[in-house]
Amino acid sequence: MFGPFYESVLIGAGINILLALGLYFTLATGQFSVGHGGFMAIGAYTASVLTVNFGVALIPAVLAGAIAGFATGIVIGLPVLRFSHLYLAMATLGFGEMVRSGLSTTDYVGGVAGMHGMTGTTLSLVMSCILLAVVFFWLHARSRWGLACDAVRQDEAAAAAMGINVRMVKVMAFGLGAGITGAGGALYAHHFFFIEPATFGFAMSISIILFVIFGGIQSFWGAILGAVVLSLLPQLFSFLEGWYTFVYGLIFVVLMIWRPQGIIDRRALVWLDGLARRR
Amino acid sequence: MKRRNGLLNLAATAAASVLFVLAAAPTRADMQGPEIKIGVIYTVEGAWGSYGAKSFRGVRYAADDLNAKGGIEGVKIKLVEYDNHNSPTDLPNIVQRLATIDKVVAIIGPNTSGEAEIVFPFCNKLEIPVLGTSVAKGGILDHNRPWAFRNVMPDDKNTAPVIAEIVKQKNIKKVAVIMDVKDAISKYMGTVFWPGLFDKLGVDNLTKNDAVSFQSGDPSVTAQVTKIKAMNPDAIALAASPGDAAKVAIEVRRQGMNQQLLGAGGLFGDEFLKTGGTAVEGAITAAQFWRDNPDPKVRALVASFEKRSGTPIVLHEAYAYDAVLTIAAAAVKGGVTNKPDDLAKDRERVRNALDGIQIDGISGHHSLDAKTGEVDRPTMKATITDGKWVLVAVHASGS
Amino acid sequence: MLVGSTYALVALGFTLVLGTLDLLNFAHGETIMVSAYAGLLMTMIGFLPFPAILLLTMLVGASLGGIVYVISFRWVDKTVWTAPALSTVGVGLLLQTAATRIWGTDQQPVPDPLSAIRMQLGPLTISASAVLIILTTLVLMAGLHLVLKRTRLGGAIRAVAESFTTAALLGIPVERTIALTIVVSGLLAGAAGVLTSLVYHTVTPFIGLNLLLKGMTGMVLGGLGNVYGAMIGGLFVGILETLTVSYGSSSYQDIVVFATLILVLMFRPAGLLGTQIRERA
Repeated sequence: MFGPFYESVLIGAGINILLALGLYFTLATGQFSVGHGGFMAIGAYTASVLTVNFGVALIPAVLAGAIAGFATGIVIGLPVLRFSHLYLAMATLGFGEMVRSGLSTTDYVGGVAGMHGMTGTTLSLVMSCILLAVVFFWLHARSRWGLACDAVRQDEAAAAAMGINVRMVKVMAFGLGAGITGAGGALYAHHFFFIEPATFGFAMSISIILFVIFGGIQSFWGAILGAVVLSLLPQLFSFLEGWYTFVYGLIFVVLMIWRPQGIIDRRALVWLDGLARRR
Repeated sequence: MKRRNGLLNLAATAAASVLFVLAAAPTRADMQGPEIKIGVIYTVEGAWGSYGAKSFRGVRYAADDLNAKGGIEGVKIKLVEYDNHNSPTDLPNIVQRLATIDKVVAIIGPNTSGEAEIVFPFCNKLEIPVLGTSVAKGGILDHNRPWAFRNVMPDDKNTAPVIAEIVKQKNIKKVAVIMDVKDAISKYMGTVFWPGLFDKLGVDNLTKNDAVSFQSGDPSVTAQVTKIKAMNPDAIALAASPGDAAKVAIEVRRQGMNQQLLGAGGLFGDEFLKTGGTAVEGAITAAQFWRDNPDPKVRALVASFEKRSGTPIVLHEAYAYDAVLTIAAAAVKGGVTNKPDDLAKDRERVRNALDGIQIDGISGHHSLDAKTGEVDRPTMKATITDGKWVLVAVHASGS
Repeated sequence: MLVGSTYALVALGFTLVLGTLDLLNFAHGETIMVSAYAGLLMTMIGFLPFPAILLLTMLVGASLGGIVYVISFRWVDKTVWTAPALSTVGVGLLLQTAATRIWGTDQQPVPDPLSAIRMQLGPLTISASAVLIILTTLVLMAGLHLVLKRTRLGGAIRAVAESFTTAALLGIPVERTIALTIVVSGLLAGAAGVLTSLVYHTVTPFIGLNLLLKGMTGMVLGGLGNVYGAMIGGLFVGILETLTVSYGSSSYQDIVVFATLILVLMFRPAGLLGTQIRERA
């Protein structure tokens, strides 16, 4: 449908959208994770091992990657859920780095040399995954569960007092968020032909955070917007050459000064909603 | 003054004769102008950014030099350059862009193995020839044929003959291996290459299944070196990138140890020399680039390059420079027409021409293997003597 | 031991800001890196004695701290609690890219000012620079302790660490104290820069993240927000690393350190010397 170049860009953006949505879900309950690269890695490697070493088809492999991410998310989520923001940030940072280190020393998945031979991500597959995720989020935002998540993010003590099972909400958020990120990782591996542990380190976690923060942390549309805009950035700014990373850092700094809540915030949402109604 | 002019004349003559040969290639229609496009992918950011900057310079000088003589058969070369800012995520898009929007006939680059692992398969899928420079990871071409090539030899092929000679010459009986486990190539060298080689040469590898390890970026390697000191080997084999290997060397000398330091081809270059300082005096590595090659064709090209750059030419510049020469020669040999309709055919022509192609470049005489896409270069032994690299040929190319 | 003391310094600076402001200063590692380059430049000039280089580099670190304060704290709306921390990530990237542009990506050798001098201490041969590093670290730690306990600034910092509101009520210039805290942290970073480059023997623009992570682990081990804990924690991390390397393999070094980080957070978040961080509302 699109020319191959545009298709490639869209696939890249699509994968980023999934990654952003995964982080968004965890963030939506007030849990700030700085190690989502770790979940992405788990999804990526799980799926890759299945397709390359065991000849499994891509779709089940991506699903497996998502499940692996989900399971890890639950396992990590349980002990860390009582942490306050700072501890959580550091623990997830440590987790992300540990996954990277662990994969580097595991020769079965190639260690530092990485794994190659994965192939098969198509635009339709990526878009289907995104569609599934968006439908889920849309329904979630309008459900009791979604309100519970909001309540937990605003004020945990009050939420608990109202009878919300805060623990369940937070752990599920961690797990599901990690699962979606894992699916993103699986698709990533099969688009790029090659993965190595270093790909999924702190820099990757930070770039996923920027997708969500840039777009706006108040709504999942923000995550999508952030992922799309920042994915297109390299192509639009290719003239920057050696200064790209510098500009990237500058975006962080300027954004935090000027509009730390992201582009789509509460007021923007109300405005957009109003626009939709008028139609 | 006179001598420099003489060299320049020789350079002009050399370049002109290369072009004359290119121009006089037999049969088929002339290439259509106005320009022939070659894609370039490197990055000046990240840990290997300096190499990227040098690689860019190499390709630019080569294109300029060829264009000054009218280009390839009168058609100017246009380099379409992209910098992937040290991130793998933009590589697929860049390759697609070069292939379908910029419509280049071939791609030069990248210069790191991690990036090549992504670029090569994409080029293979899109059926566009790609020539990697300074990509040293073993086995990377195996799963990326027939469209991928590279013009540096992986460390193991480059190094084995040199070490064999040294072991005999210096009567090395016991050796210890120290490796960086965080770097893919170094880990391979430390766990597969060095042990295998020493096994074959009959040298007692004191760290046989358990090479002493550190991680790039570690603050100190004191503990590791102390471990080696206790083993008392005759020589220490370094499996690390140049900067880290230099750090190990510094620590070795600091602890008063005098063992012979051995390195693979990857260590050869400025960084190991400069960072190591006096500690790396006497170290021996393999090399595949000889700046002081007495071959007059090389002398001429080097002189003209250095006149423009103002600094002695280094590996990455040379390999990148020669990559342009190689693609240009392949375009001629393969009979590229450069007609827009012929793009797919032209790419195939270049690819087929690259098989077995022989080049007289700034890095000396070399050729690309028709089956594996690997380059065949003469191997040299490089010893740091009096603070400078001194090279001696070990085997001629092809043997 | 050497490595541990540099980690301790890193942890100190990091903890100071974290304990007082609940701010994860992700630019701390890069501040150290730039200071290291500054120190290297001064050493190259040749005629400055080591203490002068150390002091000047600390000033460089302090100025960077000041910049971080203004960009990431002063100008940032702190009600979005992640904003200052993320801003420091950006600042760190800016510093790293700038360093790459200016000094290139190759490893730069760091000359050892006292390489010729060695001393015998029983069975061990110790180089003078090792002694210098440890001594300097101890002096700085003692200095920080004195500042915190004996000076008005130190009292102000401790009050602000307890609670912004209470401190303000007590008449303490909160904003200025915050600024000074980050600046002092910068001083420590500057010193850490010089000392780590001596321990490493080389400098590259990419040492920041690794130092930050190790410092963070040391801080967690010792007890978040507790400066003495940070010192001990840093030393511990260094020892842990060396032990892993000596008896195991370097590959596991990182895993051991990070696993320790996570385990401590999970089972004894107060760390060895324990101080709970209070969340700001």
